[in-house]
Amino acid sequence: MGEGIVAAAFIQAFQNLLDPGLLFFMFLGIFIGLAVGLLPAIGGLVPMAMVLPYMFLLKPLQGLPLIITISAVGYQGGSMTAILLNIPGTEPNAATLIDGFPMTRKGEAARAIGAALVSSTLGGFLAVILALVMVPILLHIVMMITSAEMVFVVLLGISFISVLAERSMIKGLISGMLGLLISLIGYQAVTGIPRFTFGTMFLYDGLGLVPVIVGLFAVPEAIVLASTGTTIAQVETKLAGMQQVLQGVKDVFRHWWLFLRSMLIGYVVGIIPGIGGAVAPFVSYGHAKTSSKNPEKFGTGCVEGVIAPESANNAVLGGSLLTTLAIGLPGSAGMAILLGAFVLQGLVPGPRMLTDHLDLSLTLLLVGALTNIIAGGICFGIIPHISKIARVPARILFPLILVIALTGTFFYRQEIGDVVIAVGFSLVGLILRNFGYSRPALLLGFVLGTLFEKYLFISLGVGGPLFFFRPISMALIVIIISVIWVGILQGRRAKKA
Amino acid sequence: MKMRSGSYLLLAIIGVVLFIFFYSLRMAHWKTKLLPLILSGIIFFLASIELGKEFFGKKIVGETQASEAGATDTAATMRGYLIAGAWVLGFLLCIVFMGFFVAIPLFTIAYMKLHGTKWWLAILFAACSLGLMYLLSEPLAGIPLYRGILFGE
Repeated sequence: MGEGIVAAAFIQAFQNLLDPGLLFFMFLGIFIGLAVGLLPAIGGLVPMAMVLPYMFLLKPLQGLPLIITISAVGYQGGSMTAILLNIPGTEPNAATLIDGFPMTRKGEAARAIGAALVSSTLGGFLAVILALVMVPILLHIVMMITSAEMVFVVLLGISFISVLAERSMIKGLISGMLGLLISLIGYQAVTGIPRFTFGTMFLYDGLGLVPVIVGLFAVPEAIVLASTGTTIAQVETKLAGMQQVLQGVKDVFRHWWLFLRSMLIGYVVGIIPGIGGAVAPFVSYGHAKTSSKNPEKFGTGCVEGVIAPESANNAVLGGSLLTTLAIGLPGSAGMAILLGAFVLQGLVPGPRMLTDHLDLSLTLLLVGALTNIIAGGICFGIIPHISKIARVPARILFPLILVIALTGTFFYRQEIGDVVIAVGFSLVGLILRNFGYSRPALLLGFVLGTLFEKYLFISLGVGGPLFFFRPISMALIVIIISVIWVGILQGRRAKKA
Repeated sequence: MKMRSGSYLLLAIIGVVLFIFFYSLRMAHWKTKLLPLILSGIIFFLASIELGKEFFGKKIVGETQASEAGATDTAATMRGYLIAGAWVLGFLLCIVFMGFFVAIPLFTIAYMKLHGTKWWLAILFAACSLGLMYLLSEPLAGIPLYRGILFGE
């Protein structure tokens, strides 16, 4: 691909950013992401799952920015509840509360929020810029990837999330494999023979992505919220003055080297398929603590303990967005939902995405960068007002979530069976959630299962049973084995500790 | 040896994958049954290891007392889940039999009213929810909302 084409795509991407439709859905996504990020029980994947059924109503330049924006700004909203109420709005905000909430107890809530917002905003922005710079380099790399490699890249993604997503490696692997198994329902792509349909015509096309996502994530969280029966947030907290916020901003620049290292950790973790955004902030926090001169201060309300995880959590987006677009492998469960949005838009992320739809890919990366800046600016202005959403009672949220999720599921294929499947999967989601199994692993297995089977049989057809005797394939096999081995060792170390 | 709830779940998983394994053996073409056989075999193996760990793994001192203390909490949580799950199931049945036009306001008003919301607020909220869903479906997307078994054609 010539440099002229890349330059033209960049120009087109900047022009796309001025499209009123795109801007409208970007701001809508910012509002939804911030508002839902402040709802501790609902944040994270749920809002993405809720808007997914509406994807086919929108153009690619409207729907995809909407999902990316929600994904990007949810962490910024989520950090506020982590700091103020000791409840993370999203999973990746969990590491922030370790030092954020003690800062609130010490009367430094506004300082912690200021530091968190700037770290998250700048981390997300710089990571997406880094991703943009990496596009031309990645173009050459992805050209070398064939179906044989894709088989192992898919397996690598599954092995990563199974090892790192949850507490137990075996439970993570069981979840991933169950997801793969569920994806086999319906016609087999090569032979055309239906599998596990039990004579039901509805299942011949397989299970839909939307009912599975809604069932796994949205409904179980609503059930958990309803079972508490009260408001989500129980604690009244008032922010201190703007001076403290500015002090938090200065803290980030004072610890710029820590910020940069943490941002890079988030970016690299995001690039690796299947790890997920929840891991990076904890890795960064651990790194900050081990490299600090005063590690004993961590956990008692230390601002570095807020800067490190917040710099990493939003930087994951830049890395994982790049992997999702360029290889078609989601770096996290959120990106798996984005992958679903691409499919609903009739687009196939992967190597051809960067060649056939380079301008769209660049536009989405630019949206990711711009969103972080805009959302960061909005947050500073609306912190006192938007935090009231965290006090919306369950009696209003529960019916609202169910109505939106189940009606949206029906919109997806206009099949009432999908609504039944969504409710059925909510039982699966609730069981997995409460018994320590990994819902993101199951989702990734489900999303990647069809791809895995397709690439496997193409590779077997082209290269025979020994199709994996290729340098990149062998290297990937070694990496997969290493990942599983490291997971086993980490599990043993954790038990000993 | 006392079975834990996690063990029952693993036994259920093992039962399901064994069924899938033997069901897959009867499939027509090797390409059709290859992955189901491999995957169900792997899950059976992994679930058996986990089950073995649950049965024969070392128990942490004080785990029994802790689990007994937490039993009351677990029962309360389960009761909460069952009640909320019943609401979800009720909403689903309403949708299937009476369609979205009846199910959305019925479920919203019933849930909010029984949880202490005032009549006018529950009705307003239900009207807004139904209005939004209707607007998104029929006028904007051209998708007719499901009318249900009782009221559909």
